[in-house]
Amino acid sequence: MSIIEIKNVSKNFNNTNALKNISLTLEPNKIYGLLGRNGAGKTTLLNIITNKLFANSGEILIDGETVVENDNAQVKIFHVAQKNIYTVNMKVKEGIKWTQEFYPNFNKNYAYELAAKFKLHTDKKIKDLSTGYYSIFTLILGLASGASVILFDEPILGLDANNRELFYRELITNYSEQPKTIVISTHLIDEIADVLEEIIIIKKGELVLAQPVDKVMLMGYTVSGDCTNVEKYTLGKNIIREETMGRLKTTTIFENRDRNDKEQIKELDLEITPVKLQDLIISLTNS
Amino acid sequence: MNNILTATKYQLWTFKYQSLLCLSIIAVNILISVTVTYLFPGSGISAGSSDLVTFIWIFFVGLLASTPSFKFMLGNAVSRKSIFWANIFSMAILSVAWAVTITLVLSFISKLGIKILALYPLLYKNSNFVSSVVWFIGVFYLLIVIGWLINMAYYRSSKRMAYAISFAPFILSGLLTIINQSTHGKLFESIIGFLVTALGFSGTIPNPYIGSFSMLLFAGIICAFNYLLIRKAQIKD
Repeated sequence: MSIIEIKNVSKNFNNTNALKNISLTLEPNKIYGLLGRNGAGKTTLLNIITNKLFANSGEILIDGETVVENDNAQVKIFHVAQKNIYTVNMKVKEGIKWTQEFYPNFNKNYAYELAAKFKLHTDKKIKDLSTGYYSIFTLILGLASGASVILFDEPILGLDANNRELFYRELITNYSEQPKTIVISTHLIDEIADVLEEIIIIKKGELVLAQPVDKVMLMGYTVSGDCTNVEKYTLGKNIIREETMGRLKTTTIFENRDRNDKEQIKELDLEITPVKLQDLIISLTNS
Repeated sequence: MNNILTATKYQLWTFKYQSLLCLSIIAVNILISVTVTYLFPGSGISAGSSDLVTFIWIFFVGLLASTPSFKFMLGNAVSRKSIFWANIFSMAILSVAWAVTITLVLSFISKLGIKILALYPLLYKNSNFVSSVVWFIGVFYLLIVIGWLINMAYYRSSKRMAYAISFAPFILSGLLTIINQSTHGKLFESIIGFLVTALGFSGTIPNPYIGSFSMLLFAGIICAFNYLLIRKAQIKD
């Protein structure tokens, strides 16, 4: 059970501000979705948490200890990264063996069980695995790591629908048997939506949102109806998307609704529909 | 400390394949030398230099093995400080292992009655097993940490800086030549004088222990630079 505190973290690459003053807390035993467009800064944040990059300012603590150059802190975190870090000659079984050496709580039997379920040949060289099977290999290491925090960066890259479903199932089983903090950075939001408890949205290096999924889903809604009425209702509200077809206007709003809003919607004869999480994220990261 | 031990074990494991490769080169070298010696007895043909092969090989181990291991270990919760110490220890173990191996190989070749073309017996006559091992430890450790230094220097550099590093030896040697000419050869004279003393050639009998000590001292200085380079190294891709 570990808590990660991210305090005012900024990161620059030459003249690019990859992360701008990010502050958030990852509470123990929750599943987070780290969402945002390509280049938003998600991977940079995960790399700073795992000591692969240094922040220009701010600090990150795990259970009150800094994550920077701290072996004791880092062993609590497992990063399922996109980039291949394994040497050219290393076989899958050797990858499993060495991960066990570095992570004392690693469950080797469980790793082999998962390899059998995903039909991953452990005698194969890692460099010879397809993109999908490389993802499976790293997912297995993450699930079996025994770390109290697992960071998945694009975990389902190249996975077919069957393997994706198997992964979600294994993830939930793993989480329910051994609760831990899980962060999943992905673009396939709809697929993962049911698994997530909280979402964190990063846009151009800035933290846009960090809220429980159900709260986010309540805040996001679409009103449609006569153009004038929609405009009247949405005046002063946080509009994240607008579409007009003739006299019909559809507007997506992202803010809490009170009783007055509900009455106004009724009065103006507007139709209200919930928004899918993926659409909401697209709107939030585009607006 | 536990992480340093595991990282050292990992680093030694990565050296395993490379060591096997070098051993096979030496074995082939011996085989060819034996065949040639027995086919053409009295021809005076010497066995190819097994120690020079190892010098080149160990330099490339330092040069090529550092970055992949750095990425792997950083990706497995090992801090840069632990990676640094793991490299120091694993490279030391590799140097000792190879110093013993190459000394045994040279003595084996000599026992086969094959003329050896090797640097160590050429430089230090009247040496024994211990002095040979000690001297090779110094050479191997120095070469492997130089390879590591070059690797880290390139890894930390921008493209422009990498070009500067590539051209630096040429510019430096040119500058030294100019300075040497302007000092009427005194610069090179003092450099050679320093090397002669540092490598243990100043006495009547060359001393491999002094040579080894000087090389290990120099390796220590290089390791300090390696620490400065690794402590702020970040993943690039």
